[in-house]
Amino acid sequence: MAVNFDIQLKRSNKVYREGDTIAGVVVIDTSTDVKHEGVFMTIEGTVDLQISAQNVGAFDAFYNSVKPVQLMMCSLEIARAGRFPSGITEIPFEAPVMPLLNKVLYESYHGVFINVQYLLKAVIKRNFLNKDIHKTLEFVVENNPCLNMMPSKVDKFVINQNTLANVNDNSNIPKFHIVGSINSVICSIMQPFTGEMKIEHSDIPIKSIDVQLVRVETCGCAEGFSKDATEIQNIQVAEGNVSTGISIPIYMIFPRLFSCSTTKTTNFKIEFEVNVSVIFVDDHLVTENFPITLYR
Amino acid sequence: MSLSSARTYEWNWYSKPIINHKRKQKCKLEKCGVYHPLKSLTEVTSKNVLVNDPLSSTITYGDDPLSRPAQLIPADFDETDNGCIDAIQPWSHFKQSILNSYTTSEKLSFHAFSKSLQSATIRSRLEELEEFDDQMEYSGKELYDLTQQEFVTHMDNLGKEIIEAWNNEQRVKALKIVIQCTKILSYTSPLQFYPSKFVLVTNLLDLFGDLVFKRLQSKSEMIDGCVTRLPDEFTLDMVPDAAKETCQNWFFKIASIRELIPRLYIEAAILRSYRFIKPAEQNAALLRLIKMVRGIGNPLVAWYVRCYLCRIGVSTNLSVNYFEESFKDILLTYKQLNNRFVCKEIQTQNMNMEKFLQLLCPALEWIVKGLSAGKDPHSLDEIVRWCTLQNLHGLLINSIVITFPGNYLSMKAEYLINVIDKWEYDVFPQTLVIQNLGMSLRGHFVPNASNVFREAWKMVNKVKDSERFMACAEAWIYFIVKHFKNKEISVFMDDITRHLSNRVGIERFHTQLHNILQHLLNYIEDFEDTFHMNYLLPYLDMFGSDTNKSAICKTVLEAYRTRGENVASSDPVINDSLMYMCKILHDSVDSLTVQDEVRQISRLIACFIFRVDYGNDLEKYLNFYMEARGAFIRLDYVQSALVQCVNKLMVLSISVSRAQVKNSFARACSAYCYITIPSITSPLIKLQLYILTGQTSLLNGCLGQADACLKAASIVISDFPATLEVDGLVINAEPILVSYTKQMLSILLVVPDCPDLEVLHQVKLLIRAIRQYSWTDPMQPHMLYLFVLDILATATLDTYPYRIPDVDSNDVLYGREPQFVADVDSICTVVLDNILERLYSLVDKPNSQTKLAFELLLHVVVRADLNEIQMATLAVNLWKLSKKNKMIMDPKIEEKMITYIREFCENEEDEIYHKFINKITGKPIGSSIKEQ
Repeated sequence: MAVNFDIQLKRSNKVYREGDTIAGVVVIDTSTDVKHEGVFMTIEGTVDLQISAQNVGAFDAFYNSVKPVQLMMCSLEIARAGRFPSGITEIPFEAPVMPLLNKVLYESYHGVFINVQYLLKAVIKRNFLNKDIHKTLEFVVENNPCLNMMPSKVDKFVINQNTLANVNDNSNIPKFHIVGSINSVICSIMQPFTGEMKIEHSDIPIKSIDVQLVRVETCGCAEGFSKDATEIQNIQVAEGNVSTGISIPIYMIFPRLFSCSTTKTTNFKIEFEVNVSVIFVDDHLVTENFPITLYR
Repeated sequence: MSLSSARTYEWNWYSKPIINHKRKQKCKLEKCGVYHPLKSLTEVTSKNVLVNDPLSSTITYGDDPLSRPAQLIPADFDETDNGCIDAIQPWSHFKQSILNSYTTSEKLSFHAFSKSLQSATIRSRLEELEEFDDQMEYSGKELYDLTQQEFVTHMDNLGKEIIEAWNNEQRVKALKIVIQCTKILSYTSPLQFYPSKFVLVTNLLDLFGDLVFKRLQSKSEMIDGCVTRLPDEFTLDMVPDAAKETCQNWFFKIASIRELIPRLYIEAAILRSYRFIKPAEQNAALLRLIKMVRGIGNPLVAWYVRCYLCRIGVSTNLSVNYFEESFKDILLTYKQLNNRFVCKEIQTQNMNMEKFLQLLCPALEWIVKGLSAGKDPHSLDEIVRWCTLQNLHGLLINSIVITFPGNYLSMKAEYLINVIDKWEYDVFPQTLVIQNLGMSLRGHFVPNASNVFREAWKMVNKVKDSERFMACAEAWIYFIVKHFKNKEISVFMDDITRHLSNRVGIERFHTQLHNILQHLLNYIEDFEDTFHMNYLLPYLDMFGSDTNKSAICKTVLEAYRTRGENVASSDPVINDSLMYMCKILHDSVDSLTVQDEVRQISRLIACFIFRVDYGNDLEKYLNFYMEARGAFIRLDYVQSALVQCVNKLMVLSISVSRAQVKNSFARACSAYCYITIPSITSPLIKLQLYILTGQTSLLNGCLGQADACLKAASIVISDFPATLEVDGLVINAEPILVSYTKQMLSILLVVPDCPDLEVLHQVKLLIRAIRQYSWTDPMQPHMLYLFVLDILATATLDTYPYRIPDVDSNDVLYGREPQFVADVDSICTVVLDNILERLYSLVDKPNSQTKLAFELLLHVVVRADLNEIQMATLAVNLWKLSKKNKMIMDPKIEEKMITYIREFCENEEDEIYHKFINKITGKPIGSSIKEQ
């Protein structure tokens, strides 16, 4: 009596842009004849916002969770009530990827406080004796590639014992001098984040050099804003006491699901930063922060 | 008349009374044509020029192609490598040598990842925890106290686990295992084992890279549910989107690995799969990865990563110059090696800098090898220049010396030696580089060789450590032998001897010493002079006891055998030293020695004995053989060789002069043989030698000695074993024995009778021996008797068909005296009777009976006098008997034999023969005999 129900998209990478047509089939695999009251599908895009506890307190956070914003909504009836013969039945469907009126399709994004998600929800309606059968499939929406190239912006940096911000006494800090450059702080999300750095001198050996990708999510609501920075990924570019006087490449690929174009709206903002941190053997940590802009 | 009435001596033998000319004519060899095989031999005998006796010559020349040992065939070292890209040594070779040379006895720790990964010692303790906590299985836990073997087994198991996980659709698990494994390479301890660890882990990486590639390939071959074959050189548009997506995912996944080292290794491992999404990226990615290695602080780890990247570059056949990039980065970070933090780490692991540098060698060698492959000398110069610009460049020069093409190195040898000479503070051992240079120069011609060697040897001589000294000596012997003459070689050998003398534990170096000498002997230009050199015996003395010396003596003698044809074999000094070595070799033979070894040693000693040359001084020869007999008493082969030599000597003594004095010399020789032969165990050789000695003694007129030898030969025949073992095969001795018996019979014809003994006593002895021998084939002795009849019949002729010069045979001695003929006939009668008895007993075997009867008929017709009624009757009866079973004989053979008999009879003048022939060819049988 089991019914296998599945949604298959034509595009294997499930990536769509505004104006595209999302097309695919629902597949019903059953061993016996099945009666049904119709197959329906909704295509839905929402932004879920959550106020972090840090900013407004747990109680407020619980109450003030912001209502999800609907970006896209579309319902289809893809099969009338009837009966599926035993075996595999494929029913094609097709729908335009279009925002609701006065809305914009943001890029798919999965964060801690902000989620931009696009779902295909299919259901086989059945009579009261049987449960309806649901199936959900996420698809990805990306912005159209930016046609006019964004200007690249090189950022050169120097870290030494004097540039440190949060120290009281400079005298007992060992001497070190690190120079480097980021090829561009305005980056295409398709391209790796690149740069290089050079240890000119260091009194104590280095344990590790990491490049950290951080997202900064800002949610706005009636009560005010909450802004949170959380780590997405950490990529080690150097391990152990690296040779001095040689430039070490910085290279990081932006993760697919956890990053998107820098998005700024009235309700929420998604921004990214990169931290380059040098860890010495005594576990002291020196970090240089670079806010970056991502575009597609 | 039936045979059943045959009684003793019923058929008396009658030899032919008259020797007519026609018969004589027949006996001459000319009848047989020019090409009769026996003819040439007989001629030689008659002319007394037995110098190239075929028996001795085969053994004398040591260049029997079968016995030449394989290692002495000179290898083509001068064949230089063509310098093309495929000269890059296959990694698999390299791998094995790394695994073999970098081992540890220290305990290893391991960040375990899977359940099965516990050391046996801690397994029991962990087992209980493990049981109820299955889902904790894959949380990383560290494993301590693994032995090297356990570690290797683990890696093997991990490989299996990866495959298993992969096949169970748990690809992420497989990736996790690989990441865990790769992390091992971040930990350098124990240092000594690191290169091997590298090999083991990269094996897994290769496996993983392969799995990924194959999976993507099979995904690409599934288009719309049908399988299509993806060509090897596929292009991007042949890859379906689904496969591209999967491939892209892999790279995303790997790019998000936090740690640098696993990320580097794994991306390199699946680098090949870039072909599914972006073929050009392969090159770019490899260069990027090479750059990223700069981020690794530990030089040991970093160099090995570079090595792996280059390997990937080779295996994916990339066009960018990854070797050069890697090497330049190595040079850029070279000073890191002497960084105080690195030094401190090495110290904490109880290792010294020198050893540490050698750990880096395999990786560096591989990179430099790849870098130098196919380069022209100019760019090689450039590389050398880069290296020499570095401080403390010993390690770099060492790799250059090992990996650069030999012909380049040979041109630069002098320069390199000077560079090496200038090191003062470099911890990398100078001698190791010199040793490697010596190895690399092997087989190449080096200009200015004497300077090169002088400088190199100066450095080597300063070394106190014997191991290093010997390693260098072993490496440079090739160079020396190729470039220098005896003077320098003897200095070199003296140096070795001086260095090692008075040191304890020379035994350690025996193999090396052995190799040096072996190479020297095999390739030295003027081999002959080697034995004049004074270094040889002191060198041998370094081997201490005689048991150790025997191996090296064998080598020397082996070389002497193959190359020493022209060594002046009359020089007493050389002969003495060779004799000394032979003695040592001989003394090493005992009851436990393998038979093949004994054979080899025997050959070597015999070769020496054959080569000894005293010109015309026969006495000196004999003295030497006497000494040799005493010295090599344990080796049968040598003993028989000595007997051969002495026999040759005897023959020579005839050709040298015919004076009476020589006769006594020949007697001495003969006595020598007679005494020596009994000590040989093999009856066959004994028999051969007795017969040979008998013949040569006869040739020299030593009748008594010949008599004794032939008598001894008869005794050997009677005691001959039923089977013989020749080269490990057991063969039936009888056919051999028969042929030797026949040979002896024909010799006995010319042996003069001893006046004190009865007529033809030697023949009688032989007949007795034939009877005493226990034949397995009962027909055999009777067949031989037929030949005895032949020889006896010939003995009654008035002139024998062949004779020995200056020796009067029985034909002269007896002059066909009637008593002699009667005696011979009586012997024949006995023999004939014997045969007839046998014939009678064969009634139930008509086949054999017919055969024997027919053979006998032939002999009777040819040898006996048919004028005697008994003989004629016998012949006719035999004819009838042989006709009784008509069908048994081959008609063709029968016809030929009958034709022979007919021709023979027709040539006879006596009427009886014609009658006989009429009888057997058709006339009614009943009447003809009666007519007589």
